[in-house]
Amino acid sequence: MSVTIAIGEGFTRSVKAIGAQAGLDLKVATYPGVISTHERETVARNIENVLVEQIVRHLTSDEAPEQAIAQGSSSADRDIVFAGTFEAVNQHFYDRGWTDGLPVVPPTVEKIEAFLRFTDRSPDEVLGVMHPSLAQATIWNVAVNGVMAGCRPEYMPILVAIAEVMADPRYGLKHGGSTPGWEAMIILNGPIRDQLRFDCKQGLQRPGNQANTSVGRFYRLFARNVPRFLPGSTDMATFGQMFRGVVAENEEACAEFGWAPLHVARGYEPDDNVVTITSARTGSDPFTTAGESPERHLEMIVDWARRMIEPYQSSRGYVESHVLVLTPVIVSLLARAGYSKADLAEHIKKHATVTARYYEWHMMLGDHHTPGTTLAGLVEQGSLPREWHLSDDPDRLVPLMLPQTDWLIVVAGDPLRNRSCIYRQNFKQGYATSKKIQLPKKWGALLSS
Amino acid sequence: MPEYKVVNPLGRRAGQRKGHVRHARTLDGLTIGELSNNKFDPEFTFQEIEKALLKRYPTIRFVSHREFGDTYGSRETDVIESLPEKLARFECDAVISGNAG
Repeated sequence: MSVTIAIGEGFTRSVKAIGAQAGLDLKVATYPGVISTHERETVARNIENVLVEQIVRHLTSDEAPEQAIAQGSSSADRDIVFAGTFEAVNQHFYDRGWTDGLPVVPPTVEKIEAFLRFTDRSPDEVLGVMHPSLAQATIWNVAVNGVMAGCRPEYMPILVAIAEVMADPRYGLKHGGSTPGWEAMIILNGPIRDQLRFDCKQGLQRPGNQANTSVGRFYRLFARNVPRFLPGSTDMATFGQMFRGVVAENEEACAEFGWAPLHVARGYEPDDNVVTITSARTGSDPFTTAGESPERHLEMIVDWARRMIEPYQSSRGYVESHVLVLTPVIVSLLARAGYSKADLAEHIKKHATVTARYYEWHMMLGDHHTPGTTLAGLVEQGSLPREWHLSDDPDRLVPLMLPQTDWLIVVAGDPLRNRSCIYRQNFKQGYATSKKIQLPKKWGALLSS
Repeated sequence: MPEYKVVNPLGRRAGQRKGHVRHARTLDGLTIGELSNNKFDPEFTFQEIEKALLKRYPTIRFVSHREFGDTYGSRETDVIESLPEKLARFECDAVISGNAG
């Protein structure tokens, strides 16, 4: 028997929904209010007066478990669940929480089969079991949601690779309903970019280009319908954000300046088609850098990394995979000075430092550590490398990021604009994961038809 | 107006409902394990929970969250996989898991 302590009504709903979906007899004791805004005296009073009575009741009374919220499908794949006009279908889907609030393309069997022609895999193939719904991701429901998102049938191999990332435990989608409300950053590499007309240049993430936009929309629809991340219960995003258009890399610019495209840097062959997905809590300002000297650009990039990354992340052992998107004009300056992508990543990690005084002050502000925690203590207990406490000087500089931090450097955007952007990743939630896109044997013939 | 015959977009459920767990009549004499996601000052909150419960049931035995590890941190998978063995080893009758938020 167990009882889970949830903070406030929102998390109580979330814990109950997740427990019910998992089929667990999960009892929840609700702490009243927002514990992070309470001082210890208030916390102690609330535990004594409110929380403990609930804990005792849940552990000692033989209450019947709450009914599971049936989030998975009980019908067979091809069962017709509704028939009606475009408007009626959309209303039916909207009422059941099956859309993102925008009109969807009605998923008829005929349209789904058009998508299935672009894969050699069985529609019944299970790609994984997804949390929190414990529902199966299959080739079939990838196609259904692809239809709904407004994708073209030939995008199907990319959609399958995206679902494979989402089903991979290393990606950590099960934490996708956390309060930062992160959204996926989908990065595409390989010849498929041009075959399917993905944009990698000016305004690539602005809605408008069908490939970039509809594939980005697919991710969010699939996350809603298969793992069932629903705001108000299993999705606790504080604010939430729209889906992001796919970032296709400008591999020609990479080649021109001798930089490895992202997928090659991650161990794939240049001709492989690869999807890489990482979570992004937010993107930075698309900041301007100036001058002919690479040092001036690097200084500003490091400064923005410093603004985007908070001390508590490394202080809690977060190994993350942030993204830096550079335009070709900036790459040309850095490459000319001898910097590779790997050099740049190391440069950022080495130079994005802050004073120990600031690091300690900041890591304690947001309720991330037990009061009294210090950098010296974290180093002593092995939670941080010794670089964080080489002396007791509060003005010494300490790194912001752990040495294992990954930087995904991507070349995209307006080739002639001197702006760059950093996307901050969210720890084990949406950690950068890549999948090779599997094309059907008759890909060429299918595309030309 | 054209009519569309549509299928549902959800995945088939793979999980099965677990059986209902019977509860204790009293907490006296029981061993309660504490699981922490290392959020919201767990040292202090578990200490206060222990104090409040011991007032009501003086013979409860607690197994500290430090014995199980942090279910939120980078070792989450290892920590969760080790739970069944540790819960059995510590002979836990019940678990308080916190703080979800």
